[in-house]
Amino acid sequence: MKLLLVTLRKRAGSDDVSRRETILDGAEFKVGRAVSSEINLSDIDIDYHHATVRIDGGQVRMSAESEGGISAQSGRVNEANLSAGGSVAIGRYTFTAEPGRDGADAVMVLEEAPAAPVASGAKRKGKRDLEQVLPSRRLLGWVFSLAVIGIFVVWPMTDVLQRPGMPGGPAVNTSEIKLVDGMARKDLPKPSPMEIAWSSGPLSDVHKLIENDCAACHVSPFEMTADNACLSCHANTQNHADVQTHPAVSLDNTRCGSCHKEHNGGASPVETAITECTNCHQDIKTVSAKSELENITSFETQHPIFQLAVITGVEQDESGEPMASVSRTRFNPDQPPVEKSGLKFPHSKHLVEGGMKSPNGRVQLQCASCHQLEAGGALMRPIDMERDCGGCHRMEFDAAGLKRPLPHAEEDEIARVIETYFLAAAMEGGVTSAAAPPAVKRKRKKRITLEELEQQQQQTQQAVAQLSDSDRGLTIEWARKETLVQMDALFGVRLCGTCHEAQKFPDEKGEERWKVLPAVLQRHWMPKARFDHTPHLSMDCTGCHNAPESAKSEDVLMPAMDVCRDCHVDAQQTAGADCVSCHEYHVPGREPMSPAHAELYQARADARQRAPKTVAQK
Amino acid sequence: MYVQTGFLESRFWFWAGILLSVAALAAFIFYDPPGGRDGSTIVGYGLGGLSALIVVYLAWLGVRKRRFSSSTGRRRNVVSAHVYLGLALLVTATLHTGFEFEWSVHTLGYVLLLIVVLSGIWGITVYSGLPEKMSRNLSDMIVEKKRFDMSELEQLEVDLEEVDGRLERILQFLPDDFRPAIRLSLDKTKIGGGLFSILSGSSKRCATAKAETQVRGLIDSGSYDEDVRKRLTDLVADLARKREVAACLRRDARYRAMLKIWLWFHVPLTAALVVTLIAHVTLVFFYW
Repeated sequence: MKLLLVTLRKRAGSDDVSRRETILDGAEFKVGRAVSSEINLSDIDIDYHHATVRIDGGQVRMSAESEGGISAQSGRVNEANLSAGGSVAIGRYTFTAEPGRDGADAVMVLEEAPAAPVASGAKRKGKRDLEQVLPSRRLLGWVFSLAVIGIFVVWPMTDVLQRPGMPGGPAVNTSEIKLVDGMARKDLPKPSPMEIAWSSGPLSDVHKLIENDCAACHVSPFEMTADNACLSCHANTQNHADVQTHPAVSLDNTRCGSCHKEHNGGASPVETAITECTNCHQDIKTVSAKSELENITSFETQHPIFQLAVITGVEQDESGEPMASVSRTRFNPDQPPVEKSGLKFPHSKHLVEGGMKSPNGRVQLQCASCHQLEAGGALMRPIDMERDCGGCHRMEFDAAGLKRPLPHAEEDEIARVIETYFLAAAMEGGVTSAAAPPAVKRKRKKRITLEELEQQQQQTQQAVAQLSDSDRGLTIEWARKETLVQMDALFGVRLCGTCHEAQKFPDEKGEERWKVLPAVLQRHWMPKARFDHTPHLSMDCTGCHNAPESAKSEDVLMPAMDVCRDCHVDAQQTAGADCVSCHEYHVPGREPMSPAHAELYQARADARQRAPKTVAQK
Repeated sequence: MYVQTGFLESRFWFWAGILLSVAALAAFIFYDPPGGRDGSTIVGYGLGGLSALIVVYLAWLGVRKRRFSSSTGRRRNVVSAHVYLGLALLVTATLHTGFEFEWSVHTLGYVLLLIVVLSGIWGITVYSGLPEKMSRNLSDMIVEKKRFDMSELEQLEVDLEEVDGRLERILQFLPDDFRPAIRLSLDKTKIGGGLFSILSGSSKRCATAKAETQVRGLIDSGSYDEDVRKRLTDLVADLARKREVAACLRRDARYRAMLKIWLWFHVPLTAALVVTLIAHVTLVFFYW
């Protein structure tokens, strides 16, 4: 059997068709990928032996040899008989039968369509350059830049510019100062969320409360923080020295902010470097020739000896209030200062080892038994006789087995209580004293007890009034004399006299009356410095105040400066030796810092007077 | 080595960078103003202004470098200035901060500057080592340079295409069992792809490597006549060659990406940095 195979091959991208005719001779012809096939289809999708062609009575029969099968018009078939004009396909190859000619039993036209236009290399050409897989750097640059501008500038700025004083907001008088009581300013505009990101550093602890309220200080754009903003809260700031006599310290043209730098964190914006003070104080005469201050270079090396405010005597002023005369005395251990407070108090006796006698047995006293910190913790609270001494030193008048409470610091009332006792005793009668008049010695029917008589003064007075004239005179005279005897003992020796000096003075009727001399305890020994007990609480009291060895109340128990210098040395040491640890720059009691400030100072004072007391105390 | 790192060779800019850093450090140490060392003192403003000038100058150099084709010597000098001034920025800008950082636009500027400078250092590092590795990677893989007008990379691509042609033809002599493996190698062997496959350069999941394993398995498990066995030897050799060349090209793509990836940090963030600096300076004085 002979088969004429006509091969038509189309080239990709061209209309040219190459034509080749081959005569195949055999019983059957293999169709497949194998080179050994009579009809070779060189495509890897065609099976090795895909089909077999036979010629059967002029018809071409094609049988599939693989699962790939043959595509006929009716679909995929396993066998196809092709009469002239019939055609089947395998992959991209089309077979068409034609009537036999040129001595061949059959003719078959094999048309080969061009291979799929996929170059083998193209399949593996993934993206290999970053430019192909990443957005362009220029685009990213724009996106990032616009994001920064949008989030950090435009967003907060739209809010900020609407505020009073800003270009887009209502105009304000920037020289006007709004006084604020307390730290939180409720009139401030709401902070914009991203405005916080403008902060150039954390505020100090004392300003933390207004940390998010940028507008509290930053009022006008591109202007340094004006004093007005500071003064709205800090209107009471005073000068450092008298600017009339020392014009050098006038800071009229200096902003608060040039010394008090904020946004640096820390406890407060108060400058602690000692050079800020010693710049002037190391040679004070060059700054102010009239100054009487001593030069200071540092606390360690050159600092005036502490000048203590020592009480040198106590008088009474016109209203009867005690008034101390105070002398500032440089502390000299060889000639210790002598305090005349009007009080007799030996510390050593109270702190004696083994304790001292008290109504409740022996008690070992500590410093803190009497001395407690006052609220705030800086100074000790004032000694209060009833609270701090009265536990042992009981104010009582003890007679006839009864203890009568006596008031402290009320001499006339004490005299009245005692005199009442003697009158009551006289009215009860039966007094055995030899000096007593007969009316007092006489025994009476006990209708009313002595205690009741003392409590019901009116009844006593009535009973006295009912006596005969001579008896009454003698009775009152006797009670007065007895009272005076008791008063002499109480004021001179036993009770008041334990701690106070007391004297007898004639009153307007010429009768002698006991009077305790005024006494004042010093609370603030160093008025030009600020001492705070709180940070010193870990120390023993006696480390600074040598109370256990002080037997006289004239002793001044303030420590010498060297005791302070044990800890307060170089600034790098724990305690530090900054000037502002003890001293303030803005000295209380001076005038306001500047004329503008003076008005404010007054306004602040007026506002305080108007404000309810609770607010003012804050 | 000389070729790639020639940009580090300018003595002038080296000493300029050192001098700037030392001067900045000395000013920072010896000037101890009340309120502490930070960006708002005289020295702080000085350090900040200097840093901002350097940033703007270097950014401008970066733009100019692309715009003009200058002579090699001049280019090298410009890159030298870029590198050493950029490194000096680490000192001047850090001192300008006074070591105060918080969540703010100011700290953002510093962080951007850090990223820009550090990515620049990254760039220097890759430029000093990678090009040599890259050329060794390619030249080691060249068996025979057939055309001298072709780069080594192009040569390897042609090699791969030739291997693919042979793989397709050889199947005419091989049973159908081998077709899936060859199909796999022809269709699925990928070089590059997404960002991560480029950057990893890994050939662990290479289709040709899998095809090779499959073919070896078939050879071990079947018996073939002499002619087919000879063809199979050729097939294995071709697959192995293709596997190696593909791995080499993946490494090449990876090196090429490493050589450039830092620019995606360096360039866009420089733009953001310049903008942030303008915002920083404006806002600092807006809320003076």
